[in-house]
Amino acid sequence: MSESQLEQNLQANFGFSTFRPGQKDIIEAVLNKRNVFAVLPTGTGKSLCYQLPAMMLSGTVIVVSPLLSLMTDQVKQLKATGFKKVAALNSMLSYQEREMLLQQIDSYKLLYLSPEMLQSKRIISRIKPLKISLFVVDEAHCISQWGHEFRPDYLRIKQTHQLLHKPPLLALTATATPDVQQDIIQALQVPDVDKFIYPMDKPNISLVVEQVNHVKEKEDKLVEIIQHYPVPTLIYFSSRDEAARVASLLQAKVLDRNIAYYHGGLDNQDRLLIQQQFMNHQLDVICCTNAFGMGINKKDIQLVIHYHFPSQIESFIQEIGRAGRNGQESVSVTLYHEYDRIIPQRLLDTELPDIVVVKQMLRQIYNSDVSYEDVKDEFILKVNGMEPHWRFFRYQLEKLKIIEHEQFNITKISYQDAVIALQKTIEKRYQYKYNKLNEMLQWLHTKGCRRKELFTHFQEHIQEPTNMCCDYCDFQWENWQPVFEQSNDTSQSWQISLKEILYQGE
Amino acid sequence: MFECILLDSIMKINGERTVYNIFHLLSAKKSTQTIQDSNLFGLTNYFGVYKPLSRQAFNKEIRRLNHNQFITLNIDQQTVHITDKGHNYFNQIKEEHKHFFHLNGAEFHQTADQFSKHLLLFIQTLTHLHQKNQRFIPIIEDIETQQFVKKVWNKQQQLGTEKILKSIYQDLTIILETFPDSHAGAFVDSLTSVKKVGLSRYQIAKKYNITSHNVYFSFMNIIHAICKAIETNQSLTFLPQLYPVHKNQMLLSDSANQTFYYLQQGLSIDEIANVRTLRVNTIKDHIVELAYIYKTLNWTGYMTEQQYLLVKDTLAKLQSKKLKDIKSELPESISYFQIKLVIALGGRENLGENHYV
Ligand SMILES: Nc1ncnc2c1ncn2[C@@H]1O[C@H](COP(=O)(O)OP(=O)(O)O)[C@@H](O)[C@H]1O
Ligand SMILES: [Zn+2]
Repeated sequence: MSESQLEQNLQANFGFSTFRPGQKDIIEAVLNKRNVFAVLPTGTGKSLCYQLPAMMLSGTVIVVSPLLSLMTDQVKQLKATGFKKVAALNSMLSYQEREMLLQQIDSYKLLYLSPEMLQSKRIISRIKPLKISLFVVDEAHCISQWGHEFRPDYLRIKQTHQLLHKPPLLALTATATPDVQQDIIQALQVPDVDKFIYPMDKPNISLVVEQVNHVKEKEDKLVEIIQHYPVPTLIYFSSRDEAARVASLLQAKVLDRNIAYYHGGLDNQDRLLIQQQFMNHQLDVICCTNAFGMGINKKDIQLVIHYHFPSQIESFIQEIGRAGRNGQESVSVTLYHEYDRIIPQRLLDTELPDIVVVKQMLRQIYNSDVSYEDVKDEFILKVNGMEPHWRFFRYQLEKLKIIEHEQFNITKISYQDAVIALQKTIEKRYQYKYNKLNEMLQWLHTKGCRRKELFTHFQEHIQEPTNMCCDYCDFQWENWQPVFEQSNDTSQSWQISLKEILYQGE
Repeated sequence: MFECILLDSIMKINGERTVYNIFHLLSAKKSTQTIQDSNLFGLTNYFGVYKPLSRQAFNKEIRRLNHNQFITLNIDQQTVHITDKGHNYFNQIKEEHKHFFHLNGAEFHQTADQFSKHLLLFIQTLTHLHQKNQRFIPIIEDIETQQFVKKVWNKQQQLGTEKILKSIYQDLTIILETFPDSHAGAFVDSLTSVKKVGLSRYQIAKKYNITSHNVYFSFMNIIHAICKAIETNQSLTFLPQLYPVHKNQMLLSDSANQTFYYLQQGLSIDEIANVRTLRVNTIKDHIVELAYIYKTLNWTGYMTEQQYLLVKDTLAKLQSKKLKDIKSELPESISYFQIKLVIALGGRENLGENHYV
């Protein structure tokens, strides 16, 4: 494929004239049927690396992605741009929808699958006869037990890939430390991989931490910043209630700004509307939890504030990476109070199932003739419906060969040893998570350049910042003068609004 | 509006059912029991008018009514009664609403939902096409709606966007003018066009200073009004195109519908129970459900004329709607099934009238 041909394809299908850094190299390798592992920071256009090949290659491109909403967003966006041979197979589909999709499975060029779909023999058997031109593992860090979002389901990917006779593989992620990178490549077991690692640091984002001594001071600081800088802004919170509370506080104090909140507790319709309003410049500020952001393609966000910091650096980097997508001068501010650490600590403590429950369930498995389904139901009930806890438990038992093909087998390991093994695993994972949290805290207390400190785990070389670097080096609020455009929110009678909406006279 | 509906339901049920029956009624759990009760207590208008209602939100609202002393919680913690204060309050808000209250769940609980989605998506689509903008993310995600809207557009596009916009504008104006400005305003704010994404429920709640429940009700109320206007052939020009193709609108559970099919084939209760591997009592419940809708249902296989008249007379004499009370007034030989059937058949004359208001 000649140089300009790729660009022509890009232009024709997406309307972009040039590739972003990394995209072209990766796509070329993919088109040459190489196995590829790529680390590209959030927002730099990872998905294009398989979407464009899907349009160019004959056969089907399969994408395994863990984020249902991201998957459906991408399908919607692709359809909106005119590419219709795309579909997502996941648990959100109704029975009929899934059947319809499976019926015509060979008509798609791009097929998204959630990892749990790989468990279905029926689905695999429908995919197997397809000519698969590329097998994509999106968010590949989920396969690493040391990645920040390990998903046991992801371990099936390797098996599926082999079942499908090892078509060329593309593993993508936005954040991975060198050891996690190693882990991913090992877990996927693809020989002879081309690696493309691009730096995570964004030279156009200045990093600021503001220490506060009271909650009130935090609120005041926030109000002051929002008042001063009417740029598109995201404010991250670790709780839904706080996001909603602070949103209404801001609404009351900053009258000339349109502010809303967004979290996983809103219904689908409201979430969609808020996202679209933000895209459409009807909102300037969104107070959100980490539920927001996935699949958001807003290019003009210039300020990301952390009212609460996340429990690990990886998430933090992803979240601040939503700013400055067009290279504009942008700022990340973390408002930090000494006691803030309690929140992520509490969240961490509920991340894995209680060892007491684990022991109880194990005893049942060993002492009585319970069915897999019964254990599943009871377990989920005992952990208050926390599905991830069950997945963790199931995966651990599979690893110990206590579960095989959804049946219990207690001959491989004794009850005592099983308990010890699980206990160890849980401890180890907690230890790991606490270390992560500590890294985050250490960064907040850094006494040197924040940029260097933040990215040292991920890369050796750090790019020269294009604007102010950080509050340690050179950041001064008065030197930040972003250009901005204010959103329009007019209050008018319904008669006039209706006329405008439906284009009736002026 | 939500308060009004809750208080009305509580008043009519008068402690004879638990509050959860009201929850099931509003959220349209289409079970035989819910449907029978809605008939029995004259609450069919409210059937399925608030499908997205969650149990928690419902509980919270009941607690609030209790806190405001509009209702009292009985010792069982499950049934409630309205207080005098609640009664007065109800009369007052009912007066405010009565000129523009259109909710009719029995008739529109399915249609209204679908129609509202059609309308929202069609307006978004039309305004985009009017601006020659083919690419947008649909505000309604469900595929059925998307296909419906596409079909309507294909059929109507020869009219041109300008003409359709005008028709919709006129149709909506006719309807909206009959509502208070705040209701019309909230409705218009929830529309999405090419220029402006509609407001979410909680944003509208904030803007008009109402609860997010009432945002839902005021929107749905207007939708029901449009549905009614369409059904009664009022002079709307374009909106009827967006009206869903008629489905089984009757207040009938799917299961009862199947039983109806076998009845028409001439099968007996036992035979139906056998074929469907259901309990005999379940089939009997279906028959009662059917009797509410098909007043001409042939009941002679289930009791003698004498028995029918006896039950009917007793019902007329008694005030209570508690089956137990009714049964104890009647000879042992009369079954609950027979009583329920008579209520259903004569329901409206005998008991449909609400004697609590
Ligand atoms: N070559 C390009 N030129 C301009 N915009 C691009 C290009 N590639 C991708 N984009 C845009 O960048 C945004 C982010 O892409 P996405 O794939 O969602 O990022 P990621 O998955 O890396 O976070 C999308 O809006 C996409 O359309
Ligand atoms: Zn620095």
